[in-house]
Amino acid sequence: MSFLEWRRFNFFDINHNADSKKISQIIGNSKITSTSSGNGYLVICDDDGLVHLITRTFQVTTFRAYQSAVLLATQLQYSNFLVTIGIDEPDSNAILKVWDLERRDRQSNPICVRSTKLSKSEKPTTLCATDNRLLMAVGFVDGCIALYKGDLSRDRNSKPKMLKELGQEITGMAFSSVIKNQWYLFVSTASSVQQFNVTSKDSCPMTILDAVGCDFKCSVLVNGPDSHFMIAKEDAIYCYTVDSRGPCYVVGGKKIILQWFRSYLIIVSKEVEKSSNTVTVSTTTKNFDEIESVSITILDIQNKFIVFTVTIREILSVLPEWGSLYILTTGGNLSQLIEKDLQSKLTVLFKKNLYDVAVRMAKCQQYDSQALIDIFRQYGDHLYTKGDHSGAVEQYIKTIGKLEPSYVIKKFLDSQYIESLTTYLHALHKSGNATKDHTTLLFNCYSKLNSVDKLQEFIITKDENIDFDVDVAIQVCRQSSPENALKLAEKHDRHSLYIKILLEDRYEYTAALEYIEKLSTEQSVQTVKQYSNVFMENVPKETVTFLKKLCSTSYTSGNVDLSDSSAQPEDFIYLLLDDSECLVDFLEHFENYLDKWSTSLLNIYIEHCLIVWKNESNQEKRTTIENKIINILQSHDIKTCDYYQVLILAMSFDFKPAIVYIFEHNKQYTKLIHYYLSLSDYSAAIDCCRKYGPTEPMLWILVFNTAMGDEMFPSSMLEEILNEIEKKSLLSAHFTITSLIKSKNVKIGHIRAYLTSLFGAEKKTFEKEKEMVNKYQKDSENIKNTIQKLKNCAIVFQGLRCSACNNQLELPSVHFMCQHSYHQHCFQAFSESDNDCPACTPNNKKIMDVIRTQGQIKDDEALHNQLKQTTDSFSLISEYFGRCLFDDPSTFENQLAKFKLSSPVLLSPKLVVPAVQTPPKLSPILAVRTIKPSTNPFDEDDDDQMRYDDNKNPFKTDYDETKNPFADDM
Amino acid sequence: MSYAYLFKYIIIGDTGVGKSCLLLQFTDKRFQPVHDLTIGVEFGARLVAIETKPIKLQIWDTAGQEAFRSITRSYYRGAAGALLVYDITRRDTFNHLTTWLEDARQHSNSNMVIMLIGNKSDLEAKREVKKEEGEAFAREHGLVFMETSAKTSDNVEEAFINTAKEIYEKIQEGVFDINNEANGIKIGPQHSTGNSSIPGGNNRASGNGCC
Ligand SMILES: Nc1nc2c(ncn2[C@@H]2O[C@H](COP(=O)(O)OP(=O)(O)OP(=O)(O)O)[C@@H](O)[C@H]2O)c(=O)[nH]1
Ligand SMILES: [Mg+2]
Repeated sequence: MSFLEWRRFNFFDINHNADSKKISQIIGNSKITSTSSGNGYLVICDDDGLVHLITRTFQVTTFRAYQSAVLLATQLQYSNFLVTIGIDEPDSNAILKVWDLERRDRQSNPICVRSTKLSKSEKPTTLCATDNRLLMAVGFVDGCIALYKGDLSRDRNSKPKMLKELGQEITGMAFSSVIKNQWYLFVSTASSVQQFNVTSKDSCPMTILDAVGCDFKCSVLVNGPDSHFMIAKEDAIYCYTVDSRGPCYVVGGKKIILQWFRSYLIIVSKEVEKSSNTVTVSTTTKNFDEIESVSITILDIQNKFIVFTVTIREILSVLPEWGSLYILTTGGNLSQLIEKDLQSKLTVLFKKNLYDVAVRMAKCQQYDSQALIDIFRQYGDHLYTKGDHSGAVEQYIKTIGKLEPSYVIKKFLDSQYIESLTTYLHALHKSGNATKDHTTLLFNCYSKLNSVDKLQEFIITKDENIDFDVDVAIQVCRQSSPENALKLAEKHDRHSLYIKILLEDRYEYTAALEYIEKLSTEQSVQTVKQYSNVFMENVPKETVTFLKKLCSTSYTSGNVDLSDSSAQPEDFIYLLLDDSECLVDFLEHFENYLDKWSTSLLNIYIEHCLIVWKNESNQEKRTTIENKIINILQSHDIKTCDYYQVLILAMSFDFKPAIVYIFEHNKQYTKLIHYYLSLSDYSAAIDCCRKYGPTEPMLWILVFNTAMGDEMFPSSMLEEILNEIEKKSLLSAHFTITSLIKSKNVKIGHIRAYLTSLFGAEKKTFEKEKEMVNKYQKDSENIKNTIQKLKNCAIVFQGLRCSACNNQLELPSVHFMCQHSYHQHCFQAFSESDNDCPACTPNNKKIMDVIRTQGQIKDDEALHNQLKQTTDSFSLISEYFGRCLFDDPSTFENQLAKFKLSSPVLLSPKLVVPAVQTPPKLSPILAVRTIKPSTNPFDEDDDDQMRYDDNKNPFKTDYDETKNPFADDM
Repeated sequence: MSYAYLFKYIIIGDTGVGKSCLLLQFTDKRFQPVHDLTIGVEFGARLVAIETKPIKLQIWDTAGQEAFRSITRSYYRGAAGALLVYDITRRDTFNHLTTWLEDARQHSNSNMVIMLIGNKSDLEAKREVKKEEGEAFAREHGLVFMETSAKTSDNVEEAFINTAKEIYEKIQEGVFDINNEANGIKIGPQHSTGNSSIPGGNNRASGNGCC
């Protein structure tokens, strides 16, 4: 059967004579009856009643436990109690003793804490106890089992419970607890295995597990999650769980001892067959001459290895303690088996290319991950060189995250291995360690493999756990399966890419449009802008319809201000520039939102309307367009309509209605008339003059001037023009006539009326003025006379009443040349100065002020302003001359000063000269007539008069108007 | 771990057909590419649900080698279900089925449910036994048939669960004597760890009563 064996390794080192023969010396000639180990001791009992406790440093404590012999002993694993069964006196029942190894007497022997005589006289064969010291069982040669419950270290009189008799001597027992507080007792006899449930106090039901049994020492309990009770048979090792048979390991040889250490099963067996195939370990060859060769085999149950074999004479027991195994022979020789460290075990495994085992082993022993990765890599390399690429990839996948992917990828770049590479890359993506390049590579692999399904699957599952660069993926997919690329793009909102693929690879323009329509406004605007050219080229109609829809949403949604996100018609105009009709149609779609249009949009719209208009031959349609444009101009908010632009457009298209409208709208009548005239539309020009002449008389002049220069100008209209010019005296007659003379096509007939009326008017003026001259001459004559009189003749003061109080004049009195007389006291009371007549002072003062203020108007600007405003600048300037306003101001001041100086001479009561020296009366009259009221200097003076202090006016309350002495003069 | 029933399975068939791999795939969900000869009998367990009832499957994976036959035979006895496995890429494993079947029928209880499994269905290129042949054999011998792949885990779960279903139906039909553990069926522990399972236990009792 040897070839049907597990793999062999040597994971243990043997140390013969571990105790330097100490044990054999102590034992001497006695026979070892029982051994045990645990809690830091090896326990050896002999037939002399002695117990030997051996510490790690092989210090031996020997004490007498029984007078006669020790039969059985068991050391609790993790507590300091040792249980023994032995005989004190021959022919009496055996005695069970419990020793506390911590407590020692004076001879430093352990103290016996319990000593109980067994209830049966039959020979006890097996003994076992639980570590918690609550359960203990003794098996007898007749098949009886005595079960002790309760603290076994207390000497109590509790009677043991006798379990069901098995009729055969008990060969092995073990307590097991699979579930907490559920205790089972496995029991083996030579021909059966059974289990007692010893949890409950009263009944201990038995379950028969098998009808095969084992010898003494040939059973062992493996504790742990799947706890097994194992028995060794000649053909195999059988395992049992509490309720059934478990696995079975075929190991040949007559078993002597079964033991468990860590995760190893230790089998001591006699080779029955003399062929001895198993005895191959070199260290055993020297014992080959022995009659009975006993070998010890260590099995790694988990990994299914034989991890150690050695042949040793007369093995008595195998004791696990202090982290290694001790083998005791009947002669008291102790050998130690030391497990090799993991690294050396792994090295062995690597040599044999058992990487998977290495991994399992490393994992079991909590090997660090970096080292594990290294194992995976080595394993992968190994499989790779063996040609098992898929296997290799499987290993490499386990290195993801630690090992540089390029290491692996390089190995699989050959197209033969593409499938493996794909697997690796897929895993790489799944783990989230993939870069862009990996994505590209993976997609290329998929396309090379033509595995569209897998690709699709990959794409679909993306969301959950696979991370990759979507853009790259789409790019790669595009080349091989646009279908998938589209799916990807759609799934990951790469709208622009989606459209790109549709357009560039599939030429599905309408589909693309439909797709865009589904997107949010912002997205669709973005996308459409990107590809609008393509759309226009291929599906203009649909595109326009689409754009209409898109743009109207931006209007209707109301958030026009978010100009970057919403669709503005402006943004798409450039697409339609070549096709004005289309553009017009497009824009007209938004006519309802005209008030929201921007200036440029409006301009463009008008421009293209004009283009359409120009190209339109149908007169009816032309007028519709005309009306439309004018309507827009009329209805439109001035703010958004750039009339200047529109005008330029209209000009360039010779679109008369708009030109006219705009000129009118802008009140640029001159231009309008120029325009009309340039079109030789004279009657329209005249109409315009008529219409706007009242506000802008210059229009007439304009027309007149043109008429003079333009030979085509119909002379018939001249009459009206001339009439108008004359009426509003727009041009001097002299100028008009000169122009008329220059004109070549004016017939006298057309201007006769004008001339007649002109001359008639002239004549009238002439006569009027002549009259005036006469009148003024007379006036000045009078004044001259008065002055003469004043200078040369005596003046008789005839005033009888005081001009102030109106009472009879009495002396002393004051008389003025102005014929006002006052009581002296009245004069003194009222007069402001001694020289002036109180009655005349206000008036004189006024005149003086006028003279003074006139002198102050030195401001050129005022003059210019006045010049601008007046129709008769000539008279204005002459007036200025008359007032000496253009003289040097200093001379004027001098004059005034001179004049002032002369006044004191006239201190005596006489007429104040200035009163007479006022400017000629004619001048102010003239001014009132010609100068606008607001600029009349006299008016201003009226205001000044108002400021005159009324309280001081003696005339105000006392006299009614009729009696006012000044009334006449006023 | 509480369960309503415990079913014992046995996996038999020629060596190398993938018995251990099937078990490993079913219990550990992994695949072992190297052929580790089974030396003796391996053991695995898993909890499954049949009609919402938790059922524990205890599975013995036997060695296919002729030399171990005497040992493995002893395991037939307590099994309620058997997976008889052949390798679709090796005709001899198919040819040996009759011997296996006789052996099984002889050493097991008569009610044992046997599922015929053509394993390694992933190796289509190397196929030597047609699916139809397997079906025909199963029909002829009253077995359930299925092709599986322990490598890809294809149908593995189904193979084990369908067998369990079959057994469960037989229990419902009263074919099995569930109180005799030699049949490879055991009723779950009445005193399970969770209180909630007590009414479940009652249900089972009543279910048994009607059968
Ligand atoms: N391709 C493929 N290989 C498989 C499959 N199942 C098992 N194998 C391989 O077949 C070989 C034998 O598998 P095992 O499960 O160990 O065979 P077994 O039936 O247990 O053999 P014994 O233990 O000797 O009875 C191993 O190398 C497995 O890798 C499968 O479904 N597909
Ligand atoms: Mg196997």
